[in-house]
Amino acid sequence: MILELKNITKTYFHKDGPVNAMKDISFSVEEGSFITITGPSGSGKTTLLLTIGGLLRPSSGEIFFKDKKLKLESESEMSSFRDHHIGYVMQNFALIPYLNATQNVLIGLTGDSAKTHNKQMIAEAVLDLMGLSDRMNHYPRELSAGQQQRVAIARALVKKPSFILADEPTGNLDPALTGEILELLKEINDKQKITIIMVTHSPVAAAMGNTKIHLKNGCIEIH
Amino acid sequence: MNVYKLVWLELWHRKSQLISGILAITLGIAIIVGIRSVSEFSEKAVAVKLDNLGANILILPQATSVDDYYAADIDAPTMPQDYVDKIVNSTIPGVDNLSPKLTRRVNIGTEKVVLTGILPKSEIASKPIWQQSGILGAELKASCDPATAENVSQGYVDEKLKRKVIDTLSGFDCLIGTTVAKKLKLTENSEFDILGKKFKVISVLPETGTVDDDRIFANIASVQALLGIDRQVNAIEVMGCCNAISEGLLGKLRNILPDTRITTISQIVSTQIETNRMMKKISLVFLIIILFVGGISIGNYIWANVNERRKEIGILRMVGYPRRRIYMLLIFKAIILGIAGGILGYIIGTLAGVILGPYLAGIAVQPVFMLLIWSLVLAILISVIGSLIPAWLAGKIEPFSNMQDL
Ligand SMILES: Nc1ncnc2c1ncn2[C@@H]1O[C@H](COP(=O)(O)OP(=O)(O)OP(=O)(O)O)[C@@H](O)[C@H]1O
Ligand SMILES: [Mg+2]
Repeated sequence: MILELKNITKTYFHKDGPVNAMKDISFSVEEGSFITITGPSGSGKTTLLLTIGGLLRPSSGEIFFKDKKLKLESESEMSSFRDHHIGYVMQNFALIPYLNATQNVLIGLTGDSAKTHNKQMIAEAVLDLMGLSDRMNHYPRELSAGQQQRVAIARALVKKPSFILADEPTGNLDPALTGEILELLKEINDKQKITIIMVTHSPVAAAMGNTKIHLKNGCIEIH
Repeated sequence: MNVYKLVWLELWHRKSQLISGILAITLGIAIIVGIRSVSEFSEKAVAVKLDNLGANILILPQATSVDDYYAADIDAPTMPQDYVDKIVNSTIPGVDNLSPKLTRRVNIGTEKVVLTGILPKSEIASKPIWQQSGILGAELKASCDPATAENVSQGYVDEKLKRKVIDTLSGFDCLIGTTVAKKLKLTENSEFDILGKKFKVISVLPETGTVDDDRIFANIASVQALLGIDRQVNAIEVMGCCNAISEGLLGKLRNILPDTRITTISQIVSTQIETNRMMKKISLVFLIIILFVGGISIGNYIWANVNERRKEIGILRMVGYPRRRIYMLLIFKAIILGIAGGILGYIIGTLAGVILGPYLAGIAVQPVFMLLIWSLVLAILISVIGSLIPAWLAGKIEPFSNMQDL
């Protein structure tokens, strides 16, 4: 068990009244598993994903990473957790427009351990793996949607994370590209044993998961 | 990808913003550097003036202002040369050296120069800098020097001076300042015409950095004859013993020469010292204004930049940048702005000082290197302080709000 969520709740305090986006969510994640999260719009999927990555502090509950309780209230600990263990892949790619593909991947390598020279090589190797060896110096606007998402996946992958958290990674892609990206994620999961937690609206994508979570109104149904 | 490279790439990405951001600092620094470099040289000018004017009392015609005198104006009023004799005959103690002068601007060829008629011995005795240069081979000290106080009371006659100067500067001999020598291409023993009379250059005087460099000194009698102003002078410089001045020498002189203006040199330069003081105050006021305005406008610029970059900052937080690194990103950017603004401001301010100094303050201004260091320190300080609050607010940006509308 690599990750365990216990009684997680999240209430957004909006001026029109509080929103209970997650209500008492508990589940555990096996190392190397592929988890898909589905659910209607507004059911709390993104909220859940951001909470796991420490980008959002839950209103209550606990998260254990490898049996160690995470200090959710500590900004530095959660930044470091994210830095070392989490790669995000977003629906809209989240690339920085003035950085080329290689540079966008490099910002995923924020740790100080690797030498600059090394980092460059690692980034290029991962882009190569994503089939982008001839697009390394292209800026996001010079890449197709599928290529942009592959750069984003490369950035998530480059730090050799424990998890990839993907929020509708194929939401902006046509069916052919969707298949391609899903294949890529499956391969990463199979070969590199990286745990994947993916939010998706597509039943085909959802079927890929070996654990399927369905969210409804901030509550969880596991299959 | 380190933070510095990221800052650099971002700066290039938004070049036009960068320029407007730097401009605020540049302007502020330029103003301070301009004022400071002018006043620095103005202060030096005062020091030079004090140094070069051996005389410490100036007697001018009633209608002349001190400024007129130093501007060496053409139509400056005159007074009778007999006033010199009046003082000598009065036997007021503490008057050490009397040096009447008649000054007029004249044209020689196409050049305008200042022709000053002097009584050689006394003129030279009151110019320590000329003596030091060894032209006259005589070492005289101002009477304020305690070492010579005794000499003064004992009559004070300098044989070497008498011999060399009075002999050599009689008739149509002259001494010329360095600037004049350059302008008219004259050297020792050259001959040239002043108002139709041939003069011989006895010596080119060493550079003093004052109006004297622009002068031709000739015997006062010759100058009076040339200008047709018989036995009139427009200034009498007096070397007065300091003790005597404090014991009311000025008042005694005024009693003898009621229709003149009598001031001490320290009073004369005090106007310039006053101006310098004011410049200091003004630059202090500007400093405060610039600290505020510069700081606020940089803060504003950085804050606008942060708002525009919410998405980027969100992404960076998402990939694991801690808050600290977001702060660094913005502070480092502020430092670059500060360096650029400081250097540019220094260059512009210095140029302004060098170009405008001679017009505004009547002095030659040169670049002051120390001001570059001050400019850099100040600009970086302003920029960083101005950016602290926006950087702190940027650290608060959580990626969540940006995630969905990336
Ligand atoms: N910052 C916020 N303040 C207040 N309420 C919010 C905030 N963010 C999200 N919510 C609410 O929380 C609930 C869950 O939002 P969330 O984004 O997690 O849904 P989702 O399942 O990801 O939806 P979608 O499938 O449309 O992306 C929604 O009802 C939303 O309106
Ligand atoms: Mg969502």
